[in-house]
Amino acid sequence: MIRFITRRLIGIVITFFVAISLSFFIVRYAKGSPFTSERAMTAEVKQALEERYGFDKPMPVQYMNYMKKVFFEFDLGLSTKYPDRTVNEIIGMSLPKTMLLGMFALFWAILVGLSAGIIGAVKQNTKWDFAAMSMAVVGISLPSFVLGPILALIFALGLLWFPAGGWGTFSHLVLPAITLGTLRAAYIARLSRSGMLEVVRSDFVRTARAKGLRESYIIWKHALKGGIIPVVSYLGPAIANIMVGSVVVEKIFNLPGMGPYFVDAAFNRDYFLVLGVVIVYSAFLLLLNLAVDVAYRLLDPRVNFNG
Amino acid sequence: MQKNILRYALVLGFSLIVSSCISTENEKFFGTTKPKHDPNVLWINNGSEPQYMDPQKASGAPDGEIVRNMFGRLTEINPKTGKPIADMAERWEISEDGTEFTFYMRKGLQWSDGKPLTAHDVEYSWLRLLDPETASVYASLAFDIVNGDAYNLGAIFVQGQGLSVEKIQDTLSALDLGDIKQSKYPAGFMVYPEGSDKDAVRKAILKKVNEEKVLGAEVTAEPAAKKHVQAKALDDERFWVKLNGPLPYFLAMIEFYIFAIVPEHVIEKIKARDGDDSLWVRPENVVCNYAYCLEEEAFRQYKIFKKNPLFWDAKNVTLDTVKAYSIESGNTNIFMYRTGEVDWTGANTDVPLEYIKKLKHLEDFHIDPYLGVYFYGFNVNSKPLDDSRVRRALSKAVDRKALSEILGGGEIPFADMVMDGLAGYKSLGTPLFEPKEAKRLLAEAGFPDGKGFPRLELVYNTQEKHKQIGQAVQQMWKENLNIEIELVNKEWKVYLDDMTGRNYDIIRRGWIGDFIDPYTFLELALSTSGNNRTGWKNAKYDKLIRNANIMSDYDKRLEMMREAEKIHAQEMPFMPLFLYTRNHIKKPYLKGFYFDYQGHHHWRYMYIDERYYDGKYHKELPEEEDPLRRSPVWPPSEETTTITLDEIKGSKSASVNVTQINKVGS
Repeated sequence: MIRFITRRLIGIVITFFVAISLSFFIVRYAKGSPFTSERAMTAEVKQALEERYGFDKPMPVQYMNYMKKVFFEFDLGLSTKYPDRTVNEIIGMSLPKTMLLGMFALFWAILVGLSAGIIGAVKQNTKWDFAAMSMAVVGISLPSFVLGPILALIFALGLLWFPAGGWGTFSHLVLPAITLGTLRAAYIARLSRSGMLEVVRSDFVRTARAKGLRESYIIWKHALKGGIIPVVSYLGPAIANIMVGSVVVEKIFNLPGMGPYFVDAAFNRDYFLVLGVVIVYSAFLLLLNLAVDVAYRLLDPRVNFNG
Repeated sequence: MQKNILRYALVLGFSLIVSSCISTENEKFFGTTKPKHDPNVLWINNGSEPQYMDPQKASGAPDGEIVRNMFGRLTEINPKTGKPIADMAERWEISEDGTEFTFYMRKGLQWSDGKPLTAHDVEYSWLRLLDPETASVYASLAFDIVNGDAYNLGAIFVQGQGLSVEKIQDTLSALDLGDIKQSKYPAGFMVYPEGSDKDAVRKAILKKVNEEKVLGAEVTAEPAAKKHVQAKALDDERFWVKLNGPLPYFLAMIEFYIFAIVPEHVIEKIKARDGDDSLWVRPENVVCNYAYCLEEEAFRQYKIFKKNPLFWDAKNVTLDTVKAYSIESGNTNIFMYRTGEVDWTGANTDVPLEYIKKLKHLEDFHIDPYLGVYFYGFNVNSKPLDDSRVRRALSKAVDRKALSEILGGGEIPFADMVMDGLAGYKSLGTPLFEPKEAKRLLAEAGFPDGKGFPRLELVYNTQEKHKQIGQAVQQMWKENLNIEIELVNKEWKVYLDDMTGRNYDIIRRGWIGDFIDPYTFLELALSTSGNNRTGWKNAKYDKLIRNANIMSDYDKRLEMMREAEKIHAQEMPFMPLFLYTRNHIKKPYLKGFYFDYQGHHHWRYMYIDERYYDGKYHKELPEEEDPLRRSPVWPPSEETTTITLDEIKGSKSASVNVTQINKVGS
């Protein structure tokens, strides 16, 4: 297992390095500059700004300087859109918020999704199953840019239960987390239902029933572990989706997370912020994939680490 | 199939819910009219997170709103009359020729940390604006100060006996010097290096003049510096500035936030500590001189401002706390307004178009005219747009009234560059739609009934409104001229790149005036203007505008500008379509709020009508009769505002066309 993790970590470092390098040249050669604006600026002003960010130097020098700063000083540079803020500072302020939102969304997705899936499997072909799967269809059919405003209209504007936007208290997180987590909850419900159905029909469950064990005990103790394997393998991409999907939700509810930078920084040609976001997301995704693989192995002993 | 039916049912169901939730048909206002906070608090939306809160570096509207409420200028604009009035300066004197201004600072001015504020702070601030290191995109507004441009653009000052432009040019001819201007004060010449390697040229000039003495033993050269700029503190109370010519809009222009007074003692301390001054506007460092000061901030969420008790007019400031959100989404903005989480949707975020129809009849919804023109620019070097008849034909074939109706946001159909009544200006009144004349002009240019007219591209940046306008104009040109135009949508930065490089046939443009004067719009078409970007050059136009700006007779100046605009109308490098409007929603309990042509709203005049805490609607009283108005004199400084440009020069400066505003605003 240690060999497996070490091998994967080396791969991650290489992938990470390639991702940053590619992103660096893609954003730097994209048409447009962070300093172009509708109002013309003098050549002197442009020069002063370029000097401040080191854009006056040849591209290979800029690349080397950037990589050196990132890998040896953990300095992600200055934002051009918010010039008195460092990228470290911006990400440091926004990432925890996105992660907190993601955690709540994931909690919602797992809680609702697993419950619906288990109910659907245990009460197969009953009204309970039908209700749970209908909800899953609704969840899958509603994109977050539709669900978010609807939830805001009903629960913030209509019933006044939650704030329509902003950040600060638990109630600010409820609607965004539900918006973000619902789609994943729907997938989890379907995956866990089919996974559970497969397990509850297997021989060892039948044996357990024959022994006279309680149904609830069989479900929780025996069936669940095998039944949620499809869910676990989905969790990696789901968490990634939740992080990336927060772009829309954070915009809808005006949350100060990292999501908006994912798009805005690219539009603003805020080079270092774009790269900073790429670094964080790619590190996150790569490590998450590793974590899922390890978790998969722990849940299912048949999976071989050397495979 | 079943899935589709379910989807349709869902959409229908949710539409009904949505509709019922924002139903306003029987209401006068959008959402609650009972304040959710104490009467000394205000919650507003300032739009997006400001890029800078540093006055000399700020450039966007969200930046400006914050800067204007934290830092005072020498003058400000009276929002009731549109005239410049005294702010940090209590009065001023103007020389006979109208080029020198001496400002007298108010007595006892203080920074929020208790340090005295003097004319030296003004000198520091204005020179900081011009300092090339500050890299202010607005520095060019101060180029009318003698040698302001020389300092900012890195010119070389050459001084000595027997000098002339010819002598400098001939002697240093190999250096490809660029522009050479006689410096008005102190006597000498300013040499403006041009080309890509300006630094090398600068160094070469200094070496040749100072070391090799090529211009004579007595002649010296030095880089233009602060000391050459004719803006100085004469003592603690008096600030003096000399302009290149009499600028009738000068007092209105210096109300612009880039001329705000900033604390040298704080900025220099931060610079010494960090190597640059960028952190001086953080809450833990910032020191203010105006009504409010930044107390706390949450990046991209909100900023909390507290009343500055040391502001010179603090006794007339009602609100203790202003919380300014950074809500970019129009939807979230109006949702939060409805639930009472913001009292005013702010000047920087429009109500989404889809809600305007629904909200239009409400008493708290406002559409105000705005100091801005929406227009298309023609690349005059691209055929057949090099023919002014074609450009005019295209302009006359657009039905601007119909266009405004399509948009539905109260846009004012307009076919000139400068609005009627702006600082006394009489608009040309160009007809809004002349399809017959358009056809005739196009035929005259060699394209009868559009035959042989090439397929041109109309470039716009990604935004639904620009697309909508483009499609309408495309249709009008098809119907009225029988020509085909292709719409090309470009991402913002690519669009800007294409505009700067003139890589287009026709391009969408817009311009918001920086100050209340026709020059703010007419400057666009100058051949020397970096904002022109059409390739159009007209020597007569340039001369008229330049001469107008050094004309001391105000009426004659306006007439010269009008003559210049007639040339523009005949040549039509820019095709105006409408005047911008701003829409916003404001709670009825928020008072002391005045219409402003530029969308500037000082928090210092605002207050909460406490009667609204009973949850009922209270009929609006005229501001003067409002018994709860805590500041009885409006503006609070009126009795000390003894000198205005009008009174000094007997002119019509800085008056706005109130009739038009009221008509549109109602």
